Amino acid sequence: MSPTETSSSTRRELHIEVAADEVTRETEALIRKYQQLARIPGFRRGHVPASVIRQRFAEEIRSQVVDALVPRHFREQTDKQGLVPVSQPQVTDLSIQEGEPLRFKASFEVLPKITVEGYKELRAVKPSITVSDEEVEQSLKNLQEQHATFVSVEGRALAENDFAQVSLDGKPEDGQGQPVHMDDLLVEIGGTNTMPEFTENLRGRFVGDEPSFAVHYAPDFSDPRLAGKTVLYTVKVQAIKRKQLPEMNDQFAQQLGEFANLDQVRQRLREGIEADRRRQAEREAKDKLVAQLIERNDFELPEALVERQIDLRLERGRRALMAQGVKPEDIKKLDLNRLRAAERERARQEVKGSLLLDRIAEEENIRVEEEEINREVEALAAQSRQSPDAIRARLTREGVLDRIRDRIRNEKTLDFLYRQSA
Amino acid sequence: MRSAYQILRRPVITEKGLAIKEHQNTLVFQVAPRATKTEIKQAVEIIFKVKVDSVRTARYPGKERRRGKFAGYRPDWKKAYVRLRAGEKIPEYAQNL
Repeated sequence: MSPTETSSSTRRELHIEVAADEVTRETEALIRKYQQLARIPGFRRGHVPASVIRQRFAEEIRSQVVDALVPRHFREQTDKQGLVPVSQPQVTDLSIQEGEPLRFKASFEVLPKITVEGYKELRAVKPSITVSDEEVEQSLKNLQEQHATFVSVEGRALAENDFAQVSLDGKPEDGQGQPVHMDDLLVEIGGTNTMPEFTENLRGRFVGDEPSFAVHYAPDFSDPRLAGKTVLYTVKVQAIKRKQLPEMNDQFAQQLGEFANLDQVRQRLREGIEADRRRQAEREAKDKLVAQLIERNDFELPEALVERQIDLRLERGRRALMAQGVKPEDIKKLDLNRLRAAERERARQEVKGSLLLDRIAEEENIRVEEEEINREVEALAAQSRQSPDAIRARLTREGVLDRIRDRIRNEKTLDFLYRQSA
Repeated sequence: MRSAYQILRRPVITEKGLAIKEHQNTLVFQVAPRATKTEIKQAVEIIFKVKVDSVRTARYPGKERRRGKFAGYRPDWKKAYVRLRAGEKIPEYAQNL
């Protein structure tokens, strides 16, 4: 008694009827439960007659009966017909009367039949990865910069490329905004990150000098608190420092860690750059593979999955903003509808990609071993400094574990595609 | 003369009230404190269209209620046991209580 109506390849509607005696049984069980618990004036607990319960708790009992029966029968029917719903069913035309069968319609989305074709013919470009000597030298130089030390210079004025150690007081010219005070600030004379006014006014100064000058910030200055403003600074030169780079020799190498000489450092740097590039190239190649896959295999997508993916993407975006220090109030101000619309296309592609990868995984019998999940969980545990068991319990509860499993499977499937695309 | 609905205030829905409805063919009401047995009898006959055999009444003085140092009383009330004539059907209204 439940014709499946097909309105599209992903939407299904079921008409479900629950036998009257089952409804009665459920109702009576509930009444018995209420009888044990209900406290009604005039009755001792547990001595309230069913008729009183039926009258007092009519609404509650009704909705509980529905809550109990509807999902159960919905699942039964979908199981029987071999449908896998991917969305919560929308229940309509619900009718429940004493002594009558419970009837309702449920509409929901299912995964379409997906056939993947041509994934064996996919070809990915595997670029050859080269790292030039210059690049290695450049990153060695960066390393050298990072290990630079500052040494004090005595008895002369500030010159180009010196660092002035200063304390400063700044006051916005228009009196609006907070005055700033900073100690032990290092200002590079003529440095690319130094405001030109600072360079001009500090060059040639001695320790103990206290010049005052105004600095005008451009309207598009990176710090919005300063953009477009003119600030009056009084700067006190405390010391003059020079940056001293460590000498490029085997001693420097040993200082960096487990290296015996510079060549070993070069070797390690080269490997690092190479691995980075390879990873990036691989990622790009895989993205292209998925894009091709989607192009070759088009199918109708259940909206519920797309919506869920959009939610996921927005949530990720929200976290990223939070991490950047954007205030929650400001995030709330964002136009959610517009954002959702903007994410829709990307979300569709992602869902399609992962559905196709799922199919391929099935076809190729790609499985995720318990061990692989454990490894992932342990990595997470180490990151958040909690015990793996605690993390696992939380993830299971929040359903994230399944997501991790899916992700690993997708990753493995991608690896498979990538390998066989050579 | 007060109307029948002013005399019968509400049914008394308690374990005892429901038990004697089942076993003694008797309905229990809270009634107006000044109502007489005759008035109660007539009121039940009019409202429920049944014949009344007898009426017993009991008066309950209101209990003291305190709110801190202020003392007050709940209203006094009257309870009526209305016995229906043998063979009279219990009205549907009372049935569902």
